[in-house]
Amino acid sequence: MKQNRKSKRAALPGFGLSLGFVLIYSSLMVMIPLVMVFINSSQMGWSGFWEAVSAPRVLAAYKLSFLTAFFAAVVNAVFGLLITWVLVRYSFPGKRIIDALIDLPFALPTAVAGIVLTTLYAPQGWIGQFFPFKIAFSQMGIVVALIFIGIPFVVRMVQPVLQNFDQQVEEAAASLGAGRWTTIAKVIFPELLPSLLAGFGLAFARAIGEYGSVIFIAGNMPMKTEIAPLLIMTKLEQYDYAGATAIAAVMLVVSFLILLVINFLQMHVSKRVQGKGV
Amino acid sequence: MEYAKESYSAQPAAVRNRKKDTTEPRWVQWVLITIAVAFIALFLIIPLVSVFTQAFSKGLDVYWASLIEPDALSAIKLTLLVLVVSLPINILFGVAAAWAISKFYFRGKNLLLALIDLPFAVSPVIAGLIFILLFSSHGVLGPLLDKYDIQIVFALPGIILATLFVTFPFIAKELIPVMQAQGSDEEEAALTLGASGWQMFLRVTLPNIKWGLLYGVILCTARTIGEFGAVSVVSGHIRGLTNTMPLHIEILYNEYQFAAAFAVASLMSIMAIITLIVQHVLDRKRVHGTGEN
Amino acid sequence: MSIKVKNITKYFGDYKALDEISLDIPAGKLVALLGPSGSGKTSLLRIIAGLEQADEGYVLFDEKDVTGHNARDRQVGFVFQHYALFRHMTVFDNVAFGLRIKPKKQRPSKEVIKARVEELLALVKLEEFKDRYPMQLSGGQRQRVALARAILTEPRVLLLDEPFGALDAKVRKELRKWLRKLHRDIDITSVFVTHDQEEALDVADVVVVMNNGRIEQIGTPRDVYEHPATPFVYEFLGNVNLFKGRIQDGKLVNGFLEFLAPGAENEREGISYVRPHHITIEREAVHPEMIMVEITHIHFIGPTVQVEALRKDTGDFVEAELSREQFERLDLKIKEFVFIRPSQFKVFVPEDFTI
Repeated sequence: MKQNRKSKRAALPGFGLSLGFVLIYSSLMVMIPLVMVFINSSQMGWSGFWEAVSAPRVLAAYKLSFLTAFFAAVVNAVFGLLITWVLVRYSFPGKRIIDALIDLPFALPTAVAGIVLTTLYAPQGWIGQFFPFKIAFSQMGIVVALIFIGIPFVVRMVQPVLQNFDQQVEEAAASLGAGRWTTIAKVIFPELLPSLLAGFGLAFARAIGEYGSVIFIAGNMPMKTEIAPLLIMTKLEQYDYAGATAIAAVMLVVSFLILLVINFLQMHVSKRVQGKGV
Repeated sequence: MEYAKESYSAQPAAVRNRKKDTTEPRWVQWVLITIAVAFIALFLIIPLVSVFTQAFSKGLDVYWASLIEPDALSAIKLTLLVLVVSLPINILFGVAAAWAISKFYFRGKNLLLALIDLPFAVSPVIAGLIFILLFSSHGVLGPLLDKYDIQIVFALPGIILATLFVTFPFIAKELIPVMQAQGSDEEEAALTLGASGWQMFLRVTLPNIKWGLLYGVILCTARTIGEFGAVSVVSGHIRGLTNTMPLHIEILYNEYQFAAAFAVASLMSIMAIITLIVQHVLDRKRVHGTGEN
Repeated sequence: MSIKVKNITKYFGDYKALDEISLDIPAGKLVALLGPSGSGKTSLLRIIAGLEQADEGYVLFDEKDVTGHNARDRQVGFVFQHYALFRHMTVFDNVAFGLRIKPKKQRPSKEVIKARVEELLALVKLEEFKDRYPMQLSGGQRQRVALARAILTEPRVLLLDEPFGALDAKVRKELRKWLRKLHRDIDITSVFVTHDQEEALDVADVVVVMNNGRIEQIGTPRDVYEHPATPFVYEFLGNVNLFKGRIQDGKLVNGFLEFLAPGAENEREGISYVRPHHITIEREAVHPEMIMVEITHIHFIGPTVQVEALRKDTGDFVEAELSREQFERLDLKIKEFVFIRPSQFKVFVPEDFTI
């Protein structure tokens, strides 16, 4: 009888089949196309690439996309936290409907969001009419659209954490003499922070690349209200594939970096608060 | 949380004080609730209602006419076609990925999870761009495709590919936590009882994940029919041929046919509302497999 | 059907869960794998079942090598700690599963299946529950369904992984009695894993005590309890008094007590293990080796009495156990001085003194 070495078949079947399919599919669908972007960019040579991504119009587009996305994500973080708190902790009529509505930006096509927000915030629109300054067709309008699409990210990330929060910990803090605000700030909030950061990061990354909900309300004036994705689209229509690819490459790197940073921050905070790795 | 049944002052002091310690004062609660509801009304409710008021602003006749107009119909047809083709592929991928990830240990699992999250970090326009880079006449495979007269971008295949890129994570991301939470015990039990791999999968695994799968399918469907940026890049905007519903809405809007644009938009909004309702109803059932908790 | 396990070794990453385990399980016996968490007992059971693969070694059913066979081919009945009932199927469908999935040629007719399932449900006294869902049953009921399901297909061996671990004490006791009866009626080779020594000693024909991936002792419940082979077995099964001391002239010396330790090296440190019920108490020093103690605590635990006493020679505490009659005959009270000596003991000299 010979010894069997390392014939480590797992008990459940289908590993090879499922993993194989998944890997092949992801390579073809995701890896190869994405790698194309970087290969294509490298073909331009460093100087060509640099020229393409540092033109004033391009820089303006980056700045616009980045700043509006950041601002919108911050607003979503603040209000998202508030909304989550209210949904988890309080009772009020219509709560369940509102809870269901939170996912609307995920479910609604971006084009629909785009046209309705534009109509609402146009100078004669239902909402726009109350403001002396232009909202639609300005940078404010872009921020409004980006806030819309980012609402679910923070709420859905923080909700489960808050729901599972052990109320006994709060009671312990109170029994030790902590005031309500202290308890919230020092006991509850730190535990929500990782998921809040994650939601913020996701909203931010999403907002940078957002297209459909923004192009209607933005006005799309180069150097002023032209977002980066639109610039890519424009270059494509002009058959400037190289230029489009270069801009895309930068955007990809930035998105990945954001996700990495957020992930890292999340792990770091998580370790301190929960004492374990994520 | 339920409303306190008795009036505040009727409760014994000890209970009153305890509650006071772990909740905010009533007035603070109401201020917060008001702010939250106002925010949601402003950003979610008003826009949603607006879609419908705008759609019907020129009356029922114009509404109906916009929907049955030939270009609108072919846009609807195209959208459904893309859905019908891409959904089964996404289901296949989602189930396979969830199976591999939730039931086995292997190195690089985290990498695979990150890979599945990738489309969320990629702008839809870039998602369309990559397929142009590959398959257009100026692209990498362009000459090869031209030789065999195959058209991928600016045609249905391109639209499907772009849609697949953007939507493939949804079902996987939904099923993975569901299957992880359910564990492998039932599958192992089926094996010890003599079931083959497929018998185990069809009789034990699938019934257990059916709600999670349905939830994922609904999300994926909403995303598929609503995809705009990626499809916009690869479709070529050929009226009547390569316009999906969102693209059609864009065209109508840019031509100032607002009522018609909103009419088509209202259809998609109804779909979105149905999605939300189904999501809400299925939320409980996802992990536990039945209505009971 | 007999089970033989030869030199089974299993790693989880760098961690050695099982270290060259060899075991013979004769046909028809009810064997307990007993040990603390991490002892490897569940891994061993799952390797026998085919749910895991060993890195080295063999598993033989009736002398035939099944090491390469997967769980499906081994025809084992397996009962999981958390029941693993198919949550979306009724009790009836759960139990019938094993027969329904057989290939067409081997599958009995619907009527035969129905009869067999009902027969088994009657055996586990759950006939009225056949249309219920697992979620509607209590833990004890679910485990009985799991048992019925496992034995419906007439497996060659029944394997149970801490079958009663998730249940409360009273239900555990009932199911234990139940398992013994089932085993007598059906006469199937059974192996069950437990960390509860009472359960193992109560139910099993043979107890295999495991620790840290190794087998410490194999024997009947009486054997392992009365004649423990290693310090671990002594301590794991039942209470024990530890007397630490140095070996001198073949005797372990602890205060005024001397324990015979033939063959032990001089000047080595050792420990003598004495069970509480092997401590004899007398009012007078009838034996020259007896030492004096002062009674400090008396606990009445059901039919036995636990007496805690302070030794006058070393100041250590000793725990003795008496039957009610013995206690009443001696009429002991706290603060009284009495004499004790160990009637049975075992001396161990550990390799490295890390006690």
